[in-house]
This record gives sequence, structure tokens and C-alpha cells, in this order.
Amino acid sequence: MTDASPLARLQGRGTRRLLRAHALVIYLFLYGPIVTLIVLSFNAGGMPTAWTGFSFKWYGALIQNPEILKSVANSLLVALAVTLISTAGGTLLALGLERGRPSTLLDSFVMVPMIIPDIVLAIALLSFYTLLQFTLGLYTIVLSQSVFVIAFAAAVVRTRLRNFDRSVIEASIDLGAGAWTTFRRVTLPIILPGVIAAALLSFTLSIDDFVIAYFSAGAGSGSTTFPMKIYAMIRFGVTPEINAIATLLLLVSFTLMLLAQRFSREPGRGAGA
Amino acid sequence: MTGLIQIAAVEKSFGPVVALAGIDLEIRENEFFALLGPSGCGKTTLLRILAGFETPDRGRIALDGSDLVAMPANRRPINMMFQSYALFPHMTVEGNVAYGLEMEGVRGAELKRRAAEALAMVQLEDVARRKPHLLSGGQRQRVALARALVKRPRLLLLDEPLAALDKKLRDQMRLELKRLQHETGITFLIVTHDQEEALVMADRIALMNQGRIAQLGSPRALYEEPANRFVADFIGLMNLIEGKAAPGGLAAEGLGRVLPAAEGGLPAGTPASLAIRPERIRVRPATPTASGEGLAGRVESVAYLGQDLILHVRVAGLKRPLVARLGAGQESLPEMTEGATVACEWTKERARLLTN
Repeated sequence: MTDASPLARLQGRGTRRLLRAHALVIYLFLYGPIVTLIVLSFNAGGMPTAWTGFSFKWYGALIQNPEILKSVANSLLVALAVTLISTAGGTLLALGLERGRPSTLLDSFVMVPMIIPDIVLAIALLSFYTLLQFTLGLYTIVLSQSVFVIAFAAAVVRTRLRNFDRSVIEASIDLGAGAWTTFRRVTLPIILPGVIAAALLSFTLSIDDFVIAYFSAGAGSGSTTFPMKIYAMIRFGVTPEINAIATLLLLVSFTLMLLAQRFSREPGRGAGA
Repeated sequence: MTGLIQIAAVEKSFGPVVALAGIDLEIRENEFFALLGPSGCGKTTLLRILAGFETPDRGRIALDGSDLVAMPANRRPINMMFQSYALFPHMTVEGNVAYGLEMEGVRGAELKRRAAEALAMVQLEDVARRKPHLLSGGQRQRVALARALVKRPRLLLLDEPLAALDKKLRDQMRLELKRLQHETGITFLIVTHDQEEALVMADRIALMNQGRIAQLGSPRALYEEPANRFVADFIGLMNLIEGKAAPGGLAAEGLGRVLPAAEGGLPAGTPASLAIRPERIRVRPATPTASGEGLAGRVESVAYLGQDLILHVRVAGLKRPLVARLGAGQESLPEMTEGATVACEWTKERARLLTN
């Protein structure tokens, strides 16, 4: 909006200044705590009240803690499995939904796992496992997370499919290709950016998830994931170590989300390859 | 010319909508055939049935005498050029053209050579390595054409191939398509709603209406000898005067006289329309009182088109004004002004009686 626009003229100089100040306060409110956390993770003294110098020592302490490393390994394992299941499942689901007759009912059913409160889903899954007499462990975490991550993955792939000219599939068949060849050489390459975006999002959602993992993990400490470990540690107060962990988690999530956004961008320039 | 495709009693419905209500048609070897008709007439459905994307509810289709319906789309020796072109966006122009050959198992040097040949045929060698989104609309259209022709199909289907191009390019591509058909000797079947396109390019035209073939014939036959009112109205400009068949012509409603027309075997009294082309009407100056052969009327409007003059002549008793097209070389032209009284006449053989 330029200064000459009617709306800007209507607002006047004072209003604009006030809006700008308001925006600044909101941003401080949103990002202040996060910046504090990152800064404290490099605080040598370890006290949240006093800065005593820059240090990587808390990151070093993390790496030497076998329990934390074990939880990271668990989280990575779970996230990889969830990513594989959800990306494949979500992609097929998206293809099926876009191909079939448009149905609001089916669409809503796919959305439900996304909007249902985590805690409700977690309890439901736990009761379900108890009913089927499953032994809880890492694999139940994978199953539980896949339930809601698939919905997100499908949604991401569907945005890509919406601009998909279905006649390219017919063209491929017309030129002599079978169904599988058409999928491998035409459909998949065209929707690949969406599939990659879905995979990145799936990974992030899984790494990040606490509530559902916590309910599905069972009693043993063998299936403790990274967020669950942080939760356990935090009972004894927020240590600088936890700040360091959180900073790392933030870094991973941030990078993946940025990548995912890059890939889910509209086809055409840049990401269209 | 021998028959390539025989279509017999083909019907197709989508739910309550009847797309094809019984089509019988033969498409001959090496001809340029047009399916023409208004949108919703079933022409695209018939095309998609031939391509193998739809299955007819009833009826038989044979290619070279053997059943085509049972053959899956990817095994038919038929290729299609899509209206949207449907180019593979992630492949280069060369990749697009080579795709169909790869599916046949063509590899290596021969693959390259044949793809290059196809691109040369449509003058696109220079852009072989580009992706489709970097091409102009006309170039994309040619890639689609090369991709469909490279497999040397028995039948090439073209779905509104020129619809997305601007006027100038469209005229140019008409000739180009005609040339390619001639050079390759492949049978072309084009679907279009543009009558001019069909008239200019096709050897034979099937004009479709509401799931049936209204008339099948050469462009000249459709223009000069329309079989019914729908054809007469759809192709070109036509004056249609309602009435009943009578000895010597048509007893026109509201005129109380018989207008000359070739009777065409219609029994007297049958409701019919007299069809006469604007360029077949002779117009001469007349006085209001003069009676005689012609239909007297008043010039309502004059449109000057360069080599032609279009007159709308209001005749008392007729619902619509007569449209006449006069060559600009005619001597009496200066007298054809708005409001002038004129007489319109035509040779009996030039007017046809059509059932409604």
C-alpha cells in the first residue's frame, strides 16, 4: 500500500504510528522468550539471572549424557518410520481423494485427525491398544503418530494435486504406458515437490510430538523419546542443558519447515523441476 | 479409399445424460475427418471412446475389422492430441516426444533419430532441450502434435487442436495440419465446434447434434445440400422461411403465396422450411407497387464488408428479415440504401425445402 492509497490517507499519521508500535509489542511477545532461551543456552554460568560469558559447555554436556543420546536415537527412529508410513500413505490417500468423486464427507473424515485434540486422540489410541492387548513400545508410538501425521501429509500433497492437469495421465496411457509406468514416470515426478514437503512436515511433526508419544510409549524407559526425556528432566527445574536441547530442536524444526515450504511452493519457477 | 474404423450403433450415457444416442460411422484410411457440432453434442465423447478413455454402453467399433472396444487404451494404434496439449511439464520437449517411442521399446540412437525427425517435421529442432513452460502457445501445440505423430498411429485424434491459439496462428496451423496429414498419410480425426475450421480442413464432416449424426458428407455437400434444418442453420448463414410444402415450392406462412424451391420429394402439405443462402439471393431496385416474381421488401440495414455488402431486407409477413449478400461489383449497388424498396428473388433450384 502506497501513501497515496485512499486507505492510508484515511488512517492518518498518528494511527499508523500506533499500529507500528502495536506490531512491535506483539513480535516481542512472540519471539522474546525464544530468543532468551537461545541466549541462555550459551550462558557459561548456568544461572538464568546473570550472564557470565559465552560457552558451548551445555551442548558438550548433552553429548556426554547417554540417556539423552538414547532418547534422541529413539526419536529419530520413530520419526523416520512415521515419515515413511505417512508420506506413502498420505500420498496415496491424496491421489485417491482427488481422483474420486468430490465428497465433503470424505474430506471431513480426513481432516478429523488434524483437528481432534491431541489428548483425546492419545487417550483413544491408548484404550484401543489396551483393548487389543498390544504391548506398548516404540512401534505403538509410530502407529499413533502416523494416525494424525498421515492427515497432514495428505493435505500437503493435495494442494499440489489441485493444479494437476489430469490429462497428462491420459496422455501417458495414450502413448502406450501402463498404470505403473505412468505413476513412476509422470504422476510421481510432477507431484514430487509436494511429496517431499509432506515428508519434511511428517518428520517435524513426529520429532515435535509429546502428548501422543507419551501415552503410547508404555511404562518402560526403553521407549523414551526426546521430548519425553526433556519433560522428565524438567521436573528438576529448567537447567541450561534443557535450554541447549530446546535450541537444537528449534534449529531442526525450523530448517525442516523452511525446506518444506520451499518444496510446497507453486509449480512453475524455481521449485518446478 | 478403404475403411479404417467402423462404428456401429454406439451408445453412451453418463447417468441420465445421453451423450451418444446411436452412432454409425465409417472413417476411411488416409482421410481428414471432422466431428463438428455445438458443445454437448457428443463429439468429444466419441473421440474419447476411440482413444479408449471411455467405454461405449452398446455398439461395436472395429479397427481393420477387429474389435477395438476390448483393446486397452495403451495398446491401440491410435494417438491423441489433447486440447490442453497435456505436455509432461517435467520433461524436455525431446523427452516428451521420445516418451511414446520408449514405451514401444525403442532405445538409443534410433530413439534420438526418430524423436529428432518428429521435431523437424514441426520445425522445433531448436527448442528440443527446453521445458514446455518456456515455450509459446504455438510451440506447445506443435510439441503435442509431434508427440502424437511420432508413433505413426493408424489414427490421430485431435481434440479442438486450435482452440487455444490466436486467430492468425490458427489460420496458419490449419494449413500446417493439412500439410502434415498429407505428408504422413495418417488418418486425422479432428473434433471442433468451429464450422469454418471443419470446412477448410476436412475431407468429410460428420455434423453432430444431441448424440446423433445430423449429416455426414463433404464440406460442399453440407453447405450446398443440408439434409435438415439443424444443418442448414449450423453451417454458414442461411435464410429459413417457415411454411408448408406445395407444388413448386413452399407455401409461406403469412405471405399467402408459394415461394420457389426445389421440392425434394416432400409431399404437399408437409410442414417445412425453405432454405436459401444469402449469396443466392438477387436483389434489384423496385417500386412499392410493382408486383412480379420477387419478394418485395424494404432495406433495413446495409453492412459494408469490403468485397461484399450484407443487406437485411424486411418483407411484410415474414418473421425475420431476409439476409442477402451482394458482390461489390454489382451495378445497382448505389441504390441499395437503408429504406430503399427492393425485390428479392432466386433461382428455384438454389432454394431447398427442409423438414424441421
